[in-house]
Amino acid sequence: MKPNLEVNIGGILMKNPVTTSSGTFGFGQEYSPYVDINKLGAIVVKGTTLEPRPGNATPRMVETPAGILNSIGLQNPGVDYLIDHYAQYFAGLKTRVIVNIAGNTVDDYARLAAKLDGVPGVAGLEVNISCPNVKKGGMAFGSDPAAAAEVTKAVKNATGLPVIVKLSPNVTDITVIARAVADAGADALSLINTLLGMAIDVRRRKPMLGNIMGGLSGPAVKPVAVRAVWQVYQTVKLPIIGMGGIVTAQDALEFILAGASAVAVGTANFINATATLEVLAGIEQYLIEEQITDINELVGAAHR
Amino acid sequence: MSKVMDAKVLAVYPVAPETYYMELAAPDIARLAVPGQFVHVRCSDAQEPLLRRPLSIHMVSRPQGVLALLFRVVGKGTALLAQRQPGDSVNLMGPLGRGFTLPLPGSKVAVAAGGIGAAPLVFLVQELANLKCQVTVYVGARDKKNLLCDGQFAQLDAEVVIATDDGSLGFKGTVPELMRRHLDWRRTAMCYVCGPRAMMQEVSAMLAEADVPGEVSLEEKMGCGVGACLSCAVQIQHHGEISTKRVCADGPVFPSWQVVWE
Repeated sequence: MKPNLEVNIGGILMKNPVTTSSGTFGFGQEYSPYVDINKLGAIVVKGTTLEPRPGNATPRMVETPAGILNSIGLQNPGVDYLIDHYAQYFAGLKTRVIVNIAGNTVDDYARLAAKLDGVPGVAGLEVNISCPNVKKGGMAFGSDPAAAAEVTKAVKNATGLPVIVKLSPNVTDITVIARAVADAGADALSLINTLLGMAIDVRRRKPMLGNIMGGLSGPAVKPVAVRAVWQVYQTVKLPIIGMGGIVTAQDALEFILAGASAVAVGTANFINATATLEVLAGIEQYLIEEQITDINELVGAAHR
Repeated sequence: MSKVMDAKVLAVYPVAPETYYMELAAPDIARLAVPGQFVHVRCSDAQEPLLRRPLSIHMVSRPQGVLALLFRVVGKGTALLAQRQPGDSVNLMGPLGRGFTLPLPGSKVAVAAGGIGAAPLVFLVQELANLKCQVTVYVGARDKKNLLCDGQFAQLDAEVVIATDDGSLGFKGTVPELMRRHLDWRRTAMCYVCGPRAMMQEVSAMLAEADVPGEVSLEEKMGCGVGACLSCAVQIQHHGEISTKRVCADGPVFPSWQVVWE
């Protein structure tokens, strides 16, 4: 019998638990030659700001052992462009589209949320309070519980859409931030954003990234991400989208067992364009093999 | 439509110091590719190096379904790729990116190739030969040993003019210096350039001065290869407005006058 794969992420009903990490899947169209996007539970699209942003200086990406460092700097065409040029495409998809939003101020987040409220095709918002690559906003909100709560409240007040808050691992205790945003009304959490890192070119004796520091992602960060999901699952009763170094179904299952209701594939898309569908197929296969009829039974099972 | 596939290695051998020629059985990519496009190559099945490597398409044989790459070993990924043997398979994604705009048949065109930048220009000159263009290739390298593709250009009936930095073959100096002395701009319809950034910038400035249209093939650190990750950003000027474009999806070929070099 086919197991139930449907999950509910704070009011966003996903037909299966597999989605994409923001910033690794463009607006979906970039990967549509390789992936039937409609088979995914959801896609989370590129981080969007009020005004268009040109992003950071190049080089913006450096390879490191089992990971990559990036400092894209939230390059995006702005929320109005997204609504004008992509909403119709989103509305035509047979998957949920979650828009990741980022701002410099609390008011920016509220205005973004208000603009996206009621836009056809937008199923929810992922609030990025954890980008390590922008000077203002970003991680500054994500590392202070009061600021994280304030942003969450402002977004919740500005929209009827489900609000997922994406947390940074670059904090001493991620559960403190998780509790703050849960108390402020978040509907779900995304864990984790990239880890702040850097690399130096020993020949040139200079930092490798144009922006000096960047966010580490890929298989290298998976243990940190699984740990964060494990800790937060014990702390708050919100659905979690787990992400960080997921390449295979086995990686994804670790996150689910740690407490994630859904998983996002990020860096792996760059290496294997069909990684999302392979992760999905592998999860389904595992459920069949283990005779589990509903994926939700597996969520947090490693705690029991 | 671009494809992802495992392609069988037919041949691989060094052609110059740290420079390898690789032939792959990839009929779908060979059939679809145009000059200037690239393939995104997985160099290892392990998690290091993690990312694919963008390599320009050096030549194709459509009837035989063969794709050729010419690459320089610069790091772990390309070093692993160079170790592949005939019979091994290599995972490829492609053809990717926008290639060169071809001129009108019979045009007189100039091609400027610097170092490993010669790689995609052989495929271009193949197509220019099919269009019966009158082609002059200015090919440059550090020295005689590192000179690439001059023989292939000549076989494709192009006029080949050589520059080496140390003067070990041809003109002693750079490709732009050679072009400044040799080229009759008034009789040139189009110029294609691929090489080190400084060379492309210098040739682009000459083209702007002579009012000759040109195209350059850019390189930037790349992640996804399909336009999603925005790593390979480049500043492009169009009608006075500067915008950020993606080398992988909007390029790698751009009009020379649109590139903001600084």
